[in-house]
Amino acid sequence: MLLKYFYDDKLAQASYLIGCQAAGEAIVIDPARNIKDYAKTAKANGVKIVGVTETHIHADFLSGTRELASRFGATLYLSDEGGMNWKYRYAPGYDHVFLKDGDTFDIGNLTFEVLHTPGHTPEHISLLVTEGRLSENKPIGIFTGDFVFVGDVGRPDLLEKLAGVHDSSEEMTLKMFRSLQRFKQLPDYLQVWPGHGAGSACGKTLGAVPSTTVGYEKLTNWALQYDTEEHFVEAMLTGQPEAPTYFSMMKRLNKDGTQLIDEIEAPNSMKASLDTVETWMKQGVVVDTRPVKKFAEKHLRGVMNIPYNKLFVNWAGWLLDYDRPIYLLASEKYVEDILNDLRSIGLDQVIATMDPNVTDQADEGDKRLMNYKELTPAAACDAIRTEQVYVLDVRYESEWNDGHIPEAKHIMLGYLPGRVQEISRDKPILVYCKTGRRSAVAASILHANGFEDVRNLIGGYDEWVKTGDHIPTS
Amino acid sequence: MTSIQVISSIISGGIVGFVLGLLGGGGSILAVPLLLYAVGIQDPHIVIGTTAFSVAVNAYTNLIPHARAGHVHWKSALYFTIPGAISAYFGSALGKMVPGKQLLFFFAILMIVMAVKMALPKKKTNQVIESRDQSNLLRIIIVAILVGLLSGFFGIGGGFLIVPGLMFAMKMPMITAIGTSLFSVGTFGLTTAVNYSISGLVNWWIVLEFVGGGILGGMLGAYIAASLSKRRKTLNYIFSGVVMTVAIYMLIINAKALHF
Repeated sequence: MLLKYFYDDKLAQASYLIGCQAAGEAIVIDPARNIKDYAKTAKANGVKIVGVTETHIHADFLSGTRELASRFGATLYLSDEGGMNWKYRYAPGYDHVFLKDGDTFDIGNLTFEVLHTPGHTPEHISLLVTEGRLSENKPIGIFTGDFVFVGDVGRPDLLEKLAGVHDSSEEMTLKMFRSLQRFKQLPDYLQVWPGHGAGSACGKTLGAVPSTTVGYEKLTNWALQYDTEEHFVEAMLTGQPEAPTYFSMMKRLNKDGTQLIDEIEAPNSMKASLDTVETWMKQGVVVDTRPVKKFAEKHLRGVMNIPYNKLFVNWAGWLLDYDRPIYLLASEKYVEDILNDLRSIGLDQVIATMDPNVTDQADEGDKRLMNYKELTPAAACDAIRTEQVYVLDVRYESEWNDGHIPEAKHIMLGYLPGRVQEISRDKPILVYCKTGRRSAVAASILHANGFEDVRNLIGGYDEWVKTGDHIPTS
Repeated sequence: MTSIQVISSIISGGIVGFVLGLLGGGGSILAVPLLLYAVGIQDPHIVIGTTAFSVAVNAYTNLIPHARAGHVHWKSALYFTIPGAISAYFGSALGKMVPGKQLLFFFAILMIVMAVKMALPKKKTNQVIESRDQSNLLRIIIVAILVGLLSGFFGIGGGFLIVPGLMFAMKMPMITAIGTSLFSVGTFGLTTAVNYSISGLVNWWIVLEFVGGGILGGMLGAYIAASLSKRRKTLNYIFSGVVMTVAIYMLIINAKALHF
């Protein structure tokens, strides 16, 4: 048996290639859209990708299922549970098998048994793997997708928050409770291979360890400690993070199918020109991917700063529209990686790119140039007392609830573009987050929306708390 | 040519350019009735050959700023334009063979289709195509051949068909589809014009006056468009109404001539 683990750090997303070397066949479970690594691994191990499956219709990344089916002619194994609204509409274009609870299918010498485990989503399935025949051998492990994670379970409130299915959170939580009772019946030795790790917005307390066992989760996972439904419902629905806005688009694309990566024509790489950037700003959104420090010193009026780092794709998903053209200011060497990141969540409409040194073409004093000041906690404290700055906190709600600057107004960064009108235009704005990075993105959004005087708190709230013992916080 | 004709063809060009600048498309559909009834050119084939050339010049001129902004996908542009231009050649050969009055009758029908299309609300741009049998390339060639044929037959650019065609076949965003389409529109128009000019069916003086007027009108249209952008919908309705009225008039007089 062959089992390979793939992990996308930026999306905290896990996928697996599992196969049988004897038969030379393998299946990919919950593939990401970029399928190069699966192809490479299959080739290196002498197996052919004959199947592809997903545990549920994903909301947080664009699935590579269609890519694998198109490229390798792999058969789709997809859930047929969960009712009419949760069917894979692109499946009929390919060889496909729809799966119900209790169904089995083989890949080489491996047998997969389907368990319908709703809760995170209505159609969610888990796959129990056995080497050889079910009657002769015991299962080795279970692919749980977004059902059971290490130390957590998949959140059941996304359907209500994203798909607008009213009052579904409680119903889904009850389904999760029942699915978990089923999980508890599985043998303790069974290995558990989940779909996400720490940092995913599909749960709240996901662990960083790649795999676990049924027995260990029964001992330690908070969600498996409840015996009554009502206590479970309450615990499940409190403390869930904000649901990223792009999740609903992902669900739709993953259900209906989207274009293949090969079908997207690469964006044009344009010569640096300020006039061109101005044309772009009329057509869509111009994203400056430079690091925060450089952007703060000097940037063009109207561009949005999403620094290219590990969090880029998350904030791109929160802040960019799917039906607006995207233009990138990014140096040549990062363009390919940035495009891959954007495509991993289906942001395919990058029209053109340009080197960010275009900013240097504007002379000092050019009205098209802007910058913002970075304030230390002490300076910020002065500013709050003397200058009457407007303080804006852009952190997640849970962070805000754990403590914040008393004068602050709270708008989570992801909601900022839609809520700028709530912010006063009479005062300079001091924006902060935990470390000063998210607030830099916020500063750029405020600049692009016509706020002239924006300041960023260096080191963020962490630094504020550390250095400002004298400052009262609420 | 009389001096009145010179002036009226400059004004006609100005109107076409103005509409193009104002609405970003559709102006060429008015060029045919303007040359026929305002400038008073008798031969419908000369009218179509002449507009085709003007359309080409217009499109290539508009292509420049789009190319500078990176709004042209050149690979897709070539895939679309080469089969389309070949097909436009056959389309224009067919158009030359059809008697003038009949050609105008069909043209009026095309105008009505366009007027209706303009008045209808725009659909959302994200279409999902659920098929694996047609590769992208095959899809684009089929669409290109159909659009090219129509474009050559009527001597129009076909931008109103190419933009959705590119969005459908290449799944392009609207702005790149517009930029990329201008290359095809120009080339299709040029193909038709060349084919017509071989038979002496292009009036070069009118081309010159028409294009000159068009540039002036285009600048004025673009200038006004910037301040009227919120009333774009109303402008579309007005234009659609004008095209519809002219089309019905053409339909009636050409139907009479055909003894329907």
